Amino acid sequence: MKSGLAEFQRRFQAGLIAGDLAGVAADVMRTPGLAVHTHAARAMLVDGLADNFAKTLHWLGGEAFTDLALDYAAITPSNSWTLADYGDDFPDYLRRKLPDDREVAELAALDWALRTAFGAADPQPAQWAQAPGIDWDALRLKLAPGAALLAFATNADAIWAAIPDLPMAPTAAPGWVLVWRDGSEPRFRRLQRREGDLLAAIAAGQRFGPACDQSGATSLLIGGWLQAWLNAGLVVPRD
Amino acid sequence: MSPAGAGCLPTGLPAPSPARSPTLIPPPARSLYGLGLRRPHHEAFLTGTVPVDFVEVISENFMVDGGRPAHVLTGVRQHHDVVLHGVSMSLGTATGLDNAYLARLRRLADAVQPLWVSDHLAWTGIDGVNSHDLLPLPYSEEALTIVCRNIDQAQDALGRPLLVENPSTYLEFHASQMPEWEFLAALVDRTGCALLLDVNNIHVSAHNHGRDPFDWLDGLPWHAVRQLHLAGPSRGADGLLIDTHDTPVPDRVWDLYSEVRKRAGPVAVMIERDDDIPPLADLLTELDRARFAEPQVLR
Repeated sequence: MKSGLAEFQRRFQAGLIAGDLAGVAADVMRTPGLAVHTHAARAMLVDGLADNFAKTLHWLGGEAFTDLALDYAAITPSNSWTLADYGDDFPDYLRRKLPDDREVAELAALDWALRTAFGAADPQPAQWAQAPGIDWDALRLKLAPGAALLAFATNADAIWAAIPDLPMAPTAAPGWVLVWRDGSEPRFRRLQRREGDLLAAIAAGQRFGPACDQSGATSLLIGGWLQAWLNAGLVVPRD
Repeated sequence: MSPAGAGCLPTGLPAPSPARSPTLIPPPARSLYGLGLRRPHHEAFLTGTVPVDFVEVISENFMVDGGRPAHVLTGVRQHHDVVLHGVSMSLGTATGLDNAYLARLRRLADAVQPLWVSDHLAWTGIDGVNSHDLLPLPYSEEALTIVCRNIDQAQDALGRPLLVENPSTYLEFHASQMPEWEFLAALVDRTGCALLLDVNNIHVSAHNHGRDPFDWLDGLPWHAVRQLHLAGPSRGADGLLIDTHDTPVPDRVWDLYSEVRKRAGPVAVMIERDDDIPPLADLLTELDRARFAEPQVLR
């Protein structure tokens, strides 16, 4: 440790990430304790993923999930003070690793969105929508914190709901799944295609009026959707 | 997190100083007995009927914007004093502390008004990485200077004094220049921090390094000890004890606890259980045993 604590800590950390602390063996009195840390650091990340992606774990099974989680952890250090934030791109990782099993990444995306909604800021009543003089045609909206709109190719949402009680085969079921928080409870539901397309366009930043025109939906239908979004605090004006 | 109504809250200690205090945080008027707030027991603590003097919460689990965690903590705070115990401050990181982390923790502390805030004598990562493991430090003059600087940074940012916990260690370094208890005593002298003494961690570290746990007891600055942790370890490979917090407090730790109570003044004592969490009644039974030790040693 002749070159200082910062250098030592970088060397130690690199060894932890690589799963091999041999590079610091000369710094310690006895080496068996090194294995405690290589094991603990990796186990913490894998346990964090297991906690954040519980239904994905159940779908894959413990052994397959752990193998994937270990691979992911080896290339993805945590950068947050809490393991609750760990795994934001784990669904993308699963999509790359299991391209023929798309329901796996979609299950993970749903796990993550629900997890994110769990600790998000409390939904606020949409009092802003009552203000006079709102130019709805020109209005740009966005999803409120904790809300997410997921594009699915499979019935992963139905699989998620069926785990662990019902066996269910993955099937093609393209569409939108909306995640939000109702009080303190994260919830999700599959949207009708046109409602999902409209909400996706709005969430992407399109002005409300043109987005409604392009949706092809009737004003009555859109009014009903908008009322439901506002009641749930799902959309807020962009700054 | 909605600010708790301070006027109707239970208080065991004077309100924390708004700025870093040059003197130690005062001890409680009498010893306090508490438990950790763990998910299986949230509902019970929300009823306000659990017979504890305080509840310890893991800070990072509640550094969130809203939702159930925030609601639970606000509800629990209506009934109980709270101490905030962190695992990610990384007091030993050579390049300093994460200001965003400290600011977020300050928001939580200001809302909760805890008896105090604590974290570990350890580092968890450097350059923005968090291993989520409590990594050991060499007890060198360089490390002492760094940890003191970091404690100063934390106490300034939090606006309140810090309690620093002795770690369970599995490694000793050639670069160490002093034993752990001397390092802890120097932290107290130089920064005005107080100590959270984990009795199980003394048991684990002494076992793993072939030392006598009484070396810790004879060398610690007892005037600065404000809280005690009691927990149970597991046996790992190569005969090492691992600080797993998944077993009842073992007899060796109870024996050490009896000796600790002869040396410490009024303190806040808690059973720390993080895994294989038993029914609340089991933890309360262990807490009663900790309570029972007090009159024996004070008679």
